[in-house]
Amino acid sequence: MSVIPTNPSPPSAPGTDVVKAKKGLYGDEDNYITHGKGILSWLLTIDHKRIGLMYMVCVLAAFFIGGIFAIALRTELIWPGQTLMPWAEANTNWKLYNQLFSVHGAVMVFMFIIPAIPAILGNFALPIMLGAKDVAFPRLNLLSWYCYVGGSLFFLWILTGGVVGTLFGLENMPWYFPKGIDTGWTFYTPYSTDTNTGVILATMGVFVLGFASILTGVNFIATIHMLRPRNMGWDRLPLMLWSLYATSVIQILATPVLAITMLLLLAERVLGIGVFDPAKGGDPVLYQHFFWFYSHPAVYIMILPAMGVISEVISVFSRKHIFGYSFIAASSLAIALFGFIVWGHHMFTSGQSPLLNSVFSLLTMSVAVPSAVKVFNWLATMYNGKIRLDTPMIYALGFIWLFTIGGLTGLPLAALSTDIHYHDTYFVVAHFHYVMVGSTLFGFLAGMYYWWPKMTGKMYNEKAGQIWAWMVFAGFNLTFFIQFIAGSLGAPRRYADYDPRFWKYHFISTLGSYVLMIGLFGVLYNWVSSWRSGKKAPANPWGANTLEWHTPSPPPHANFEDGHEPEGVPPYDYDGWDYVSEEEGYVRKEGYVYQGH
Amino acid sequence: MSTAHSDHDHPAHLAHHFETSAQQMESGKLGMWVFLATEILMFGGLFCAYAVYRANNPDVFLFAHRALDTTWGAINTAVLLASSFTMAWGVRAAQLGQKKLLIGLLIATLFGGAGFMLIKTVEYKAKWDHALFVGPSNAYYHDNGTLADPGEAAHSSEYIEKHGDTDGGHGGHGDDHGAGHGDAHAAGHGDSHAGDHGGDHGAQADAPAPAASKIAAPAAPPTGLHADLLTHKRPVLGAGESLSTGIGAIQASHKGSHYPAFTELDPLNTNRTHIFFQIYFAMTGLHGLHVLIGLGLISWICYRAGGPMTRALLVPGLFVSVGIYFVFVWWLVSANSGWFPTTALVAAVLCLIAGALWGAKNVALTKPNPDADSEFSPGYYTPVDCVGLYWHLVDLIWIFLFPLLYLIH
Amino acid sequence: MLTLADFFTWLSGPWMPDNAGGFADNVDFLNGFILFVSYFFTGLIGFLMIWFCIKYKMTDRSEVSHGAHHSTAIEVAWTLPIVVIVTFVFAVGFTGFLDMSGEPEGGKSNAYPIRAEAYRWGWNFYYPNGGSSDKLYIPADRPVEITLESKDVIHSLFVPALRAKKDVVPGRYNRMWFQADASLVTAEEPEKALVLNCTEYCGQGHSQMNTECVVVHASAWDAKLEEINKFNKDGLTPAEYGEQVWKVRGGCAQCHSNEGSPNTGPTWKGLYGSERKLAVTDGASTVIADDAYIAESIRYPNRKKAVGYEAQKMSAYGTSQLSTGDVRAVIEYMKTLSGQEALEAFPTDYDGKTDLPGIAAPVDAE
Repeated sequence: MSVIPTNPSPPSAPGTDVVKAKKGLYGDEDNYITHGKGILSWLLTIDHKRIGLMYMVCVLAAFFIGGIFAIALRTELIWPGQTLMPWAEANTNWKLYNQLFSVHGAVMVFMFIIPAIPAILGNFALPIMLGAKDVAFPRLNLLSWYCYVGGSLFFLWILTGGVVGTLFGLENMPWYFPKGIDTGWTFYTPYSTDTNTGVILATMGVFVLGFASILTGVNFIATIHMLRPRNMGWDRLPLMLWSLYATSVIQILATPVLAITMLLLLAERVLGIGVFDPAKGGDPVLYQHFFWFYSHPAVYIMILPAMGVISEVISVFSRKHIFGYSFIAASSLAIALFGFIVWGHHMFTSGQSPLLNSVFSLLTMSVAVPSAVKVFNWLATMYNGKIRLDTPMIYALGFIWLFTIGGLTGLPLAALSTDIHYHDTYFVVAHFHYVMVGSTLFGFLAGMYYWWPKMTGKMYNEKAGQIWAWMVFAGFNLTFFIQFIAGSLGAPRRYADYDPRFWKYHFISTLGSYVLMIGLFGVLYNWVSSWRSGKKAPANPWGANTLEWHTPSPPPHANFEDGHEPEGVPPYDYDGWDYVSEEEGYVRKEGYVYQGH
Repeated sequence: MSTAHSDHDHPAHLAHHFETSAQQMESGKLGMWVFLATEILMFGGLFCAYAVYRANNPDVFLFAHRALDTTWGAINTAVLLASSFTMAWGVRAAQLGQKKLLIGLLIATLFGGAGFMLIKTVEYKAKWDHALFVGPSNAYYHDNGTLADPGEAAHSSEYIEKHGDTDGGHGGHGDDHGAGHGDAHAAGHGDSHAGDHGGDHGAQADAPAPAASKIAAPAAPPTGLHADLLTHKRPVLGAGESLSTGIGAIQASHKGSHYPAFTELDPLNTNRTHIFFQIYFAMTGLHGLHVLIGLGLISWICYRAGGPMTRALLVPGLFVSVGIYFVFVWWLVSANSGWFPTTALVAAVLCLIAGALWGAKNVALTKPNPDADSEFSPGYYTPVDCVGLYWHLVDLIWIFLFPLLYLIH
Repeated sequence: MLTLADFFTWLSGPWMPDNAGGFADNVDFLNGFILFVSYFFTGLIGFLMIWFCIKYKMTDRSEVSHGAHHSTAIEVAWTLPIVVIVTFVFAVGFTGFLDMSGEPEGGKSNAYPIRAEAYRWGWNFYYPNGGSSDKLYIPADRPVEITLESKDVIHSLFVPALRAKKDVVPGRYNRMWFQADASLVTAEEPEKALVLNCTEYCGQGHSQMNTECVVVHASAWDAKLEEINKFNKDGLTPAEYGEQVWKVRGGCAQCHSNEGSPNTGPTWKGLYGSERKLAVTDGASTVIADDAYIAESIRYPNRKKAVGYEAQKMSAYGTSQLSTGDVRAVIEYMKTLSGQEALEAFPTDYDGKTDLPGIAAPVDAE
């Protein structure tokens, strides 16, 4: 048996408090955070854990920006007429609103949801879960982060120009001061070739961000294939890794199509190549096909990692082996596969052939099966478990609830005749927020709380964490559930101003968004205060058995302590751990032998 | 970086997180294959766009592809295939530890890639001369139903006609076009038509659709409805033509597999010729970019594979090559100079001379040491292998591009 | 079965807009069925989660639960009903969609043909008798078949009460048909207005691109068509009418200002009668902006572009977009913007199709 990891205590026991006060958050402890000093030791690092943390800072900043825009656009909609800029003309308000929702969508999709779980939690946890020292290509991993930052800078550039320009009514600005972006995150042609806003910069930004995504995908696939330790067959791969694997497959197969789409759009604007422009012999519906061939699988890039997190959390916090391991793993792959053959359901009204519509509708229905399989397996895992209702579990349960609603409201959007009615109404907005925000955000928060002790080595305030979790849950449902009703009644989306009969729905939704915002700030405060002054985290606060809990919190630079050669264990066998109340965490049982060893 | 593992007995090339060289090599190759999958999908999107474009505008493709030079295209295919061969042989050489052979083959591959780009330049230049370039540099470029300069478009059409007649390789046209096979004449073709932009061609092209909206749709009668507008068909774009003038109608009239010569097409259809060149330049341009990237990668491999002498010569050699390339471009376009500024020529010559001098200096100061530090060995040649894979992909894409753009008719 | 169908339709009742015919029967029934399934599963899953959390609450942190964790039988058992449900949903949705995308009820000849033209940001509807309107008028007793045409970007025509929607895609002629419920209107109240929205994002004024779909009783239909077709039915002066064309019908205001401010196209203030320097010439390098030049520039915008607007692309306006009378009125409006005297009134019985008698006809090559 390998060495039982405990938290290495600082070498000089007496006077540690004084040392700690002098030496920042971790005292003399040698872990990946304190290993190497100075800003360059971060910016040039090839340590996957540090890259994960750097991603965390940037992605949360993107989430903050996207969130500010969300609040602003909800505020514009709080009542009919013009709200944000009452002094300006109505069409200036509309312009501002169009920029708000475009930037909100693009930032949230490309800079927050897609990288959130794979790039932060995946980067941090994946190699440790595999018992590896790093991802297969550490330098590519760093390059991925730089691509992310580079792509994000395009968006910062655009949105600064756009918001400043619109607020102060500046026209005829020089080219280096872009006029924002007002196409929506989908950049539909011919509007995107026609508008005078910063489409060129935005597509370049998306292109570069795509590289970040591809590099992460390549890395994860190679790592999972090549760097598994002794005794870890595919049947002992934690479900988080199964879903990250499925995600990576989508990332590498779908993202290049987005890249070529963006290049062609760029060529259309810059060179006058008109593959999507009817005036030049092209077809705008072809653009939609290209775009959704990426962007529908991208929805699964967003949700699959969250499902992986939930699979871990549900099992660990039910203190019970996950139910239907192979079905959950297979359903991840099935979702990745189905994700590629259903894109046409975004275009039921576009005038593509009725036959194509019917085929896409039928194929789309198939996604319901693996999704339902997952939900039922999670419930079966909880059945007869020992449920521990800590913050990650609350988010996980929230995930199941929101995903159920998001999934079921997908039914009328997949069915042909009902989709004709619902297409491009608030019903769609509510649906994809339930799936993308409700589910992915909740999965992300569950994962963040779950791995927080491992990443930072600090425990968070459990009570506060739970209170904010409920607030986020309430705020989210308040914001978006009401939009289902508005959408059913026929409220079209992307309207800067609306029929007064929809006023009460928008009003409640906007109030809900404020509650959601406060809840999320509470979560942020919870994390920051934990990092600054949280209690030291034990190596394994949850009693989980995936390999990252076999090493101290936070892990040392080389992931495992010297001499500890990790090997594969059954990831959901919790019998090898005892709760030790002095540690406030779990400690390996001496001499416990896993089945199959 | 990793001090924790200094005690391990790792070879220099083995990264800290791998156990064995074999594991590292397998990982590298797997990663490369996955990356190539993304490349294929990216080009797959472009091929898809090509298919849709071609399906929508078959007559245009039929007409315009004749402007391409099949002979040069075929030569280029051969050049690229040969360079792929030398690359594959190079990988073999690296595997067997034949260091000198490896360097020689890599340099041969570099020459192949550079030769491809040179020939591509010759071809692009011919398109430029006849106003068949991308976007607004194309004589047919328009997006609202009227040509900016109909005379120039007519002139370009005339060029395509003539070129189609004389260019080799159109077996399908058989007897009518038998003469002039293999006439590689693209570079010199321009002069004979220079200054001949004719007003007499103007009439046929300047006929905007009555009631053309921005999308230049066929006019609907004032009462609103045409029965044939309800058929879900995209209207064929172009001035004044109806849905029945496309290739389908022509084919029907010929009742057979014989595709018509361009002269049988409605002259107005040539107005859309820019459509073909858009996709031609998008595809070959992106492919050319990949060739350039490949050349960079092979140079990098060559640098790592070489001894001190190779390293001393490689970067100066790149300078010389760039210089030669631009002098070549100058020579190509000197016939209608004007857009190639003299300062650029001077810069190219300076680049050439500086590279040569630098190389000479390096050679003089470097001690030849034939068996010194090649980074690769039979135990470690992953980068050679990966770059080789990439180069084969670039080759493979061209193998698809050549028939799709040059040959199908 | 009938009662079950009624039950599902009733279930979706409160969440759907009023049923004005169209495809509402199929959509509402299917929607109700999906709602029923949704209520059931959300309730079940929510209940189970809460119940499990209470019943199986952890008491001792060292406890581990050892239940079964694999059962292919159970997996199959809960997958099968899902398959059945989604297949049913697909089938019902499919039949409804076949109805929408197929021939109008009673065949093509039975349907009343209307051409819809969407532009930023408004609608024009053209009727077989030559009339046009910015509201969609449909007869209550017949299906209508609409051909959708876009002048610029993608739009989408949506009538919630009819559950009908179709994108208006440039370069394509999309087609839709529907029939309103005939009982919406009576001979006494011959008109019923339904909301019509644009549901594909089309830029700044997207949210304003709403109009009405007016269902007209059979008895009032012919009179309605006459009214639509009447040139200058509001009795405006030619200049006023021209201003309407500038603002709404032609959408000229998007690119041409009337007060001198620069925009995509030249401002109309002071344009009429001024000397224009031409960028694309046909011999002369300048031209006076007279009736003929303006009319030609509307019909063939890119023949004689003025200096400074070489790069701009204006859509050509044919007779199906602007009739001769419309062009005439625009010219009269431009006269007033240049301080010139405009025609005071259209001659009596002027129909707008031919030109005004006694005035030199603007060049029109058609």
